[in-house]
Amino acid sequence: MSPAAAKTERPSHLSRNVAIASAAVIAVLVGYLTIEAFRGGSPALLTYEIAASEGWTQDSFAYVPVDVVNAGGNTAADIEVETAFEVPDGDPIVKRTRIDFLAGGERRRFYAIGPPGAQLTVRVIGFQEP
Amino acid sequence: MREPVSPKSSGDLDPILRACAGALLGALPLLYTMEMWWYARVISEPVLLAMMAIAGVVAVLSILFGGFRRGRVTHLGIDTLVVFGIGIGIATVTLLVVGRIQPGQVPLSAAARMIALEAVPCAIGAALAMTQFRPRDGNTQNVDRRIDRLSQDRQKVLATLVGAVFFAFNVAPTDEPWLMAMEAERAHFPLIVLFSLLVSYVIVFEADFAERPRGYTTGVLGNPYAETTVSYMLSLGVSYAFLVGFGHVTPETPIYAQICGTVMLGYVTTIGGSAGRILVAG
Repeated sequence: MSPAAAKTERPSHLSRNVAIASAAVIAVLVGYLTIEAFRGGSPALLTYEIAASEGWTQDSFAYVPVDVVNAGGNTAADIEVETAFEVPDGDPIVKRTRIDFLAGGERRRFYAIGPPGAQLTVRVIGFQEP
Repeated sequence: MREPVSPKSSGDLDPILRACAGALLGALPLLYTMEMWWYARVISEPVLLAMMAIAGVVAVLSILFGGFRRGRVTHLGIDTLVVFGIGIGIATVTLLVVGRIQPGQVPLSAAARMIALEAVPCAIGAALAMTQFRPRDGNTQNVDRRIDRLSQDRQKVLATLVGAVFFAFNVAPTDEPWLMAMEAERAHFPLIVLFSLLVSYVIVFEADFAERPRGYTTGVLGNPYAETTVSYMLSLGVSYAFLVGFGHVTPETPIYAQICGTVMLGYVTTIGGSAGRILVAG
């Protein structure tokens, strides 16, 4: 290619198409983040669901799924959840689980392990809002 | 004289693939870093958008340093869009494949923020790979290094900033530099400053990575000691900005802790700045 030809070199169709697709993706991402910025956040609100029907029993232990959900807007950090299995004629089996972070709308599942048939209670001990 | 090979349309696939590889090579550690997922959830949108803007500037500078197709400045715009789009694409695919984004568990807003944050180092890696790591066959006839029009001083400043930002992005999001700064003895910090300056000088002026272009010793920063010192100050500025951006430093942070953190991360950004200046020479 001569220098004159090089000076008038045009981008290929591939480059143009990738650039157009990139521009669209960037616009969508930046637009979405901008809208989110103006929306403002609501405080973190932590709820839980015991999905007992999805649990199972193995080696005389019950595995009970617990879904922790941040139903609020802001991110919650260092979430501490307490699970307690009520044991007849004995102290409840209490365990604490820590979840590092949950964004608004995010869901995280953990499993509470205890004796089969025992009543499970869950409560959120606390969390930070960074 | 060897006639330059005429680029075909399909020849553009190579730089695009190279950019994809660069995005992964440059940012894979950050795609696997928990602090990045965490910051993506807590960082404010304006800060996130500012980071993307900085990445855009760094990408443009990388392409200006490395060279884009000669003739039209629209090529620069196209290449910038391409590297950013590739950065977003690589970040999205990787986060999906490794399960950090799971539809139904991770909400759209958190996913978008994670992609935006991870796309920043990916885009910088893509830009560097597309421009700096292209085959060096000596054919520069169709490459436009428009940045060469700037003075050597300005090129060095910009190169320092590009390198420092790229390296800072790989370390600043993690807790380690801040932890190291808090646990180090007071005597360590003057040593870190001296060692940072020494390493910067050796990398750029003694290690002989690249031939220095004509006029490299002109200007205020033509003196190696002046260049090393000014570049170090710029690197410290980048360090401080990243510590603020990632929330390690707040207005409540004691001044001494701010200085210690800046100096600790400054070791990394200084080396990054030195790498950037080597690219100018190359």
